[in-house]
Amino acid sequence: MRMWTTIAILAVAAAIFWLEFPRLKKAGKIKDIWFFSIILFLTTTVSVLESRGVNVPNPLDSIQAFYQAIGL
Amino acid sequence: MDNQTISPRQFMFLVILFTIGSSILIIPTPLALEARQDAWLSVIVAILVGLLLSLFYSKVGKEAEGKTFVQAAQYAFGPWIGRVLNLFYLMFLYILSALVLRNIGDFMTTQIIPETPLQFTHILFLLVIIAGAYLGIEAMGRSAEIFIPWMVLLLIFMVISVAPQINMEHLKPHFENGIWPPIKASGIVIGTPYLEMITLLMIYPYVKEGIKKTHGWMLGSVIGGLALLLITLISLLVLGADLTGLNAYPTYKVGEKINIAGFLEGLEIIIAIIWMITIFFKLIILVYSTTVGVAQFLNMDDHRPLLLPLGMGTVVLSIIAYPDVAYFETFVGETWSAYALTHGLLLPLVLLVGLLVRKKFSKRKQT
Amino acid sequence: MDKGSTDQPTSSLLYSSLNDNVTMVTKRLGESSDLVVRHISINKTPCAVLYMDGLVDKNTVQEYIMEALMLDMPSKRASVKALYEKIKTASLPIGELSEVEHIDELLHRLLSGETILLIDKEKKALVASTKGWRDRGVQESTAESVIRGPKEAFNETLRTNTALLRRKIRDSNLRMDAKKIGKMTQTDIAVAYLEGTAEDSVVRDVHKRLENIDIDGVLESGYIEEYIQDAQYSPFPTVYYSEKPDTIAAGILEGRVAIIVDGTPEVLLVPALFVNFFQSSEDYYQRADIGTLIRILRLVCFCIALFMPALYIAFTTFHQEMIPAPLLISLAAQREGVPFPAFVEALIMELTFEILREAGIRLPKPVGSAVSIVGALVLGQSAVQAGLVSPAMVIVVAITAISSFVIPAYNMAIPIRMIRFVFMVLAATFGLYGIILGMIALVFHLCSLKSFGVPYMSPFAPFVAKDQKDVLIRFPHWGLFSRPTSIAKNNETRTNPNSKES
Repeated sequence: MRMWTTIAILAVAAAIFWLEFPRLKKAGKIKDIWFFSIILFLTTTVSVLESRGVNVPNPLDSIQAFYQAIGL
Repeated sequence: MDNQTISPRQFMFLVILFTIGSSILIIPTPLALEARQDAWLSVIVAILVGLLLSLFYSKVGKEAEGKTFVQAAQYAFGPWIGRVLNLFYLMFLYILSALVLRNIGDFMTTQIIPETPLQFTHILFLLVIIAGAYLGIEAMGRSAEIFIPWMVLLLIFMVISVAPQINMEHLKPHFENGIWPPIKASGIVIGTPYLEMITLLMIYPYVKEGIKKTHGWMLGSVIGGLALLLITLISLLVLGADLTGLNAYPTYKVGEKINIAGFLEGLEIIIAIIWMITIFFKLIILVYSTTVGVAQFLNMDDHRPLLLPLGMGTVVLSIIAYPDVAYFETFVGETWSAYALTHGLLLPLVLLVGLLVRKKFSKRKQT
Repeated sequence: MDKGSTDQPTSSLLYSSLNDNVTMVTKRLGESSDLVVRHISINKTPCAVLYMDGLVDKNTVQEYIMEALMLDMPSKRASVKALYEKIKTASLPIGELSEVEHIDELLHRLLSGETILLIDKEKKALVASTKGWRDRGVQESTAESVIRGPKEAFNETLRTNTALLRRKIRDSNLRMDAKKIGKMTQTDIAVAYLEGTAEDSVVRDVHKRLENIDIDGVLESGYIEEYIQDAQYSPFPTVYYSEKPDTIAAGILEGRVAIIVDGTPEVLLVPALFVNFFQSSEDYYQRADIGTLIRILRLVCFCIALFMPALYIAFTTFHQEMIPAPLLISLAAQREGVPFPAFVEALIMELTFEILREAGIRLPKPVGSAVSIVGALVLGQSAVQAGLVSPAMVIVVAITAISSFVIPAYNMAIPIRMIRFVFMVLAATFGLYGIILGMIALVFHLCSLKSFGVPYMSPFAPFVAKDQKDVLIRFPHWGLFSRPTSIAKNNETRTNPNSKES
C-alpha cells in the first residue's frame, strides 16, 4: 500500500515536471528551470516522506515553541 | 506578474470574500466560548479594528508605489535584509494557505463526504485553485463579481428561512460578565481574518488606480465583517451561546434546522456551498500571493511554473499541520494571535518605516 | 504564392498572339471539358471568347457578349488598339467589365465564372462578369426556425448574402470588405460592419486574423472560425454564427463585425459573448415580457442540462439524507433491482442518448421516424422493464436532453454535452463537493475567456449596469437606448424613449 502511494506521488511529480518543462525550456529561462526543479524536488521529497509515515517536523510546533519561549 | 489588472470594485469583492473566507467557519465557536452571548460585540469591535487595519495597509500599499509587499521589502531594505523580511512574510502566507485548506478539508470530511480520505479532498480543491490561479488575477476578479450576488442571495435566504427559529432571549443577559470579555474575544476575529489581510498587499498593486482603491479595501473589510456578524448573530440567536460554543460548526447546525413547509430539509448544503466559495477565494488569493511572492523573491519572471510544486507542498503541510482538532484549537487560541500580530502588524510597520526612510533618502539625494 | 489577394504581379503576362494565349489557357486547365473557347472574328481581327460551362449565365454571354461582338459591330477595319478600346468602352453592354494582364488572374477570373475576351496582337484581355451558376435560391432556414419573424436564410452564394444584408441595413456606412482566403479554393469572404459604430480595433483585428490564415482550402465558415477564435482549447464558442439575415443585421447594428463566407450559409459574427448564445432574434419580435421569461428559462435549462445527471448521481450515491423522505423511498425502490451503481447507469443512458442523437442527424427521412420510435420508446421502456436502468434515470436523461435543445445556438450545446460527463465523474467520486468545485472551475474558466478583446462574461463580469437591459431582461424597444458598451464605445442613442405612445 505504501509503495503505491509513493509511486503515485512520484508519478505526479513527473507529470508536473513534464507539464512545465517544455514551456520553460522554450522561453530559455534556465534560472527559472532550476528554481522550479529544486522546489519540486523538495516538496516531492516531503510528500513521499509524509506518505511513508516518517515524522516530518511540523512548523507549527516550532512557532508555538517560539512564542511560548518569549512569553506570549 | 502578468500584465493584468482588476477594477477597484472587483478588488472590493475579493476583499469581502477574503474577509468572510474561512472565518465564517471557524470563529463562531471560540467566540461563543469566550464571550458567550455577547459575541456579537466582539465582531463589531473587530470590524472597527479591521477598518483601521485596512487604512493602514492601504497606506503601506500607497507608499510601495505599485510594488507588491515582496518587491517593496527588497526595494526598501536591499536584496539581503529585504529577503529576510520576505522569508517570514512568505512563510506566514504559506502556512496560512495550508491551514485554510485544512479548514475546508476538515469540514468536508466530517460533515459532507465522510468516506473520502482527507488528502483527496485537499488535492481536488487545490487542483481547482491552481487552475484558477493559472488564469491570473483578471479571472479572479471577474469570478468574484459573478459569485458575489449568489453569496448575498444564499445568505439572505438562509437568514430568512431560519428566522422563525430565532429566539431573542438567547442574547440575554447582556454583558453578563462585563464588557471586557467580548472586547478581549474580538482578538479572535482580528486574528482571523483582519490581520491576514496583509496578504492582499501582494495583489494591491494590480488594482487600477483611483481613490476607489482605498475605499474598496475599507468597504470590503466592513461588508465582510458585517457578514461575519450576521452569521455569529444567527448562531447565537438560534442555538444559544452554549450550543454554539460546543459545536464545531454551529452555523452548519443552524442550517440543519432549516425546515421549509415540513418538506425541504437538507438545505444545510447551502451553507456548505457558501463556505466552499468563500474559502475558495481566500485560498486562491493566498496561493496566488504566495506563488507570486516566491517568484519575486527568486527574481523569476513568471510565477506560474511554481504553482504546482508549491501546491504539492501545501497539501503535505495541511496534513502534517495538526493531527487533531484539539491541537488546532490550542494553537489558534494561544499562539495564533501573537503569530498573526507579528506578521500582520509588525511586519508591515517595519516595511512602512523602511519605505518612508528610503523615500526621504532619495529626496535628500535629489536636493 | 498568394495568401489572399489576387493582384500580386506574377511572372507570366499574356502573350500578344491569340493562339498562344488560347493554347496556354487550355494547357493550364488540362484540356478541361467544361472550358468553352469560341473563336470569332471582329472586323477581320481574330478574337476568342472563353468561359467555363456551368459557371456562367449562358444568356448573358450569348446576348450581351456574343451578339454585341458578332452582330452589332460595324465592319470598318481599325487598328487592334482602337478596336480594343472601342469594345471596352462602347460595345459590350455588360455591367462589370475589367482588364487583366496576367495569366494567373485571368485563370482565376475564368474559374470564377467570368467571360474572357482575347484579341489577337493585344496583350490585355477583357473580362466580363457573367456569373450565373445554379444555387439553392433563398429558402427557409432549416436550423433556426422562428414562429414570428423573417424566415429567409442565407444561401451558399456570397453575392446573394451580401444583398440580403444590404436589404436590412440601408445605411451608407455599411462596409463590405472583400478578401480571398484559401490557396486552392480562393474562397470569397466579405467582412461586413458599420463604420463608425463598430470598434476600429475590432475591425482591424478581424482583418489581421483573416490575413494570417494560411490554408489550402476554406469550405465552410467553421474553418475560419477555428483560425480566428480566441480560445483554441476551450470548448466554449467565442464566435457566433447564424444563417438568418435578421440576426446578423441586428449584430451589425450593435457594432459587431460579420464575416460572410462564400459556399456556406453560416455567417460568423464577432465579438461573441456568453450571453449572445442565449439570445434569439425572436426575443425581439415577440413581447418584452415573454422575451425576458424565455431568456431566464434558457439559462435555467443550461444549468439543468449541465448538472442534472451529476446531481442525480451525487444525491443517490453520497447525500441520501438530503432528499426528502417520500422521494427518497420512491427512488430507493426504483434502484432496488438495478445492478449498476448510479454513475454507470447514468453513463450508459447518456451515451445511449448521444448515439441516438447522432444517428438521428444522419437518418434518411423515411427511416427517421421509425427508428426514433424504436430508439426512444422501445429502448427506454425495455431497459427499464429489464431492470437495467431505473425510470428516474430515464426521466433525468430525457429532461437533460430536451433542456439542451432550448438553447438557441447549437454551438453552445456542444460544450454542455462534453462537460456534462466531467461533472458526472466528479459527482461519482466526490459527490456534491466535486460538483461545486467543478462549477467554480467552470466559472473561472468562463471568466478568463475573451472574444476579440471583450471579456466573455460581460456584462455580468465586469458588471455594467447599463447593459443589463438586454441580457436577462429584455426591455421593450423604446427602452433599449444604447448599444452594449463592450462592443461599441461610441454609443449614439438608438431610440428616443419618448416616442412611445403611452
